[in-house]
Amino acid sequence: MEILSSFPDQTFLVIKVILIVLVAFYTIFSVVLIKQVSLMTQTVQMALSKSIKAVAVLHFFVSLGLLIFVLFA
Amino acid sequence: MPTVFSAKKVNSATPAASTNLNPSRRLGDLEKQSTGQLKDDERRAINGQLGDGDVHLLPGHTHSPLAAYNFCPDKVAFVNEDPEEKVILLLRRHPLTNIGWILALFPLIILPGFATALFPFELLPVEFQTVLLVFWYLFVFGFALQRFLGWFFNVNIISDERVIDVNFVNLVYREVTDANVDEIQEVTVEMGGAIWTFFNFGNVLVQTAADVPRIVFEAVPQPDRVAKILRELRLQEEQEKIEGRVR
Repeated sequence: MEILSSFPDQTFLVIKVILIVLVAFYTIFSVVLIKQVSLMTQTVQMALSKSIKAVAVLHFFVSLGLLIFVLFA
Repeated sequence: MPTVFSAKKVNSATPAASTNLNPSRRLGDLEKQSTGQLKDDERRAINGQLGDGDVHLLPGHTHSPLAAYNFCPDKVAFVNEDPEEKVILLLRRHPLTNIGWILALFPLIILPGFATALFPFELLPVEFQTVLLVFWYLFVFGFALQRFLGWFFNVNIISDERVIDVNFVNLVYREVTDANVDEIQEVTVEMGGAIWTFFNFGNVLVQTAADVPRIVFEAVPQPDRVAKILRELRLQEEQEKIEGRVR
């Protein structure tokens, strides 16, 4: 606990900013992934297409949830 | 309605008696066909003489959406498909070609367990530790999803009119190449290495007279059968030309 209290607040702020940037970029990636899945399913329609779309959308929402969490953490 | 009846009959206990399939065929024969010559039923399916329900017992026909080789697949359509066009074969790379990235997943999954030895994560607030952990597993999932999509949607389709190669090179780049069956000049099968031979997969190189001179089906299962199906389609196309039935 002593070590933890010796960390200046600014260090945590820097770590938080790095985390926000990382998760924000990942959220953008997950949006691109949805677009990619949409393009793929338009090109070739197969039995699993809807499930894969659902997984991509779920993946985006988890990323977005994490971004919101890290913003308010 | 007749199609529905036909499909039900195929799935019954005595399929051969109730369908257009050759009644003398046995399960053992089907297994032998995996690398052998095309049988009459398959030829009839390729020529469009077999009903939708009748293809269900043909070798290579499967309802698995993850199949790498699917003869006369049920629910497959592709961009720019003609209304009368029929998909004969859906191919993707053999599942074994995914083994590299699947094996790479295991160290990535267990890495957080060892990471604490390298970096004192316990010094960070619990919220930050949680975010890092969730982010890491989300990243691993994203990596796996990306690789899976690359395998699942990079397909080769053989229809009764064309051969189509669908390639998604990266996140936003798509390449769809097609050539008419009557433009096929040469089909070459490449199989090299013990694993490829043992698991019976290889490359099928289709030389065409179209603008794109060569279409490559990479690491597809049963390449010899793919080549035979392409040959059958070319013969059928030539026959149609002679009879003046070209679409």
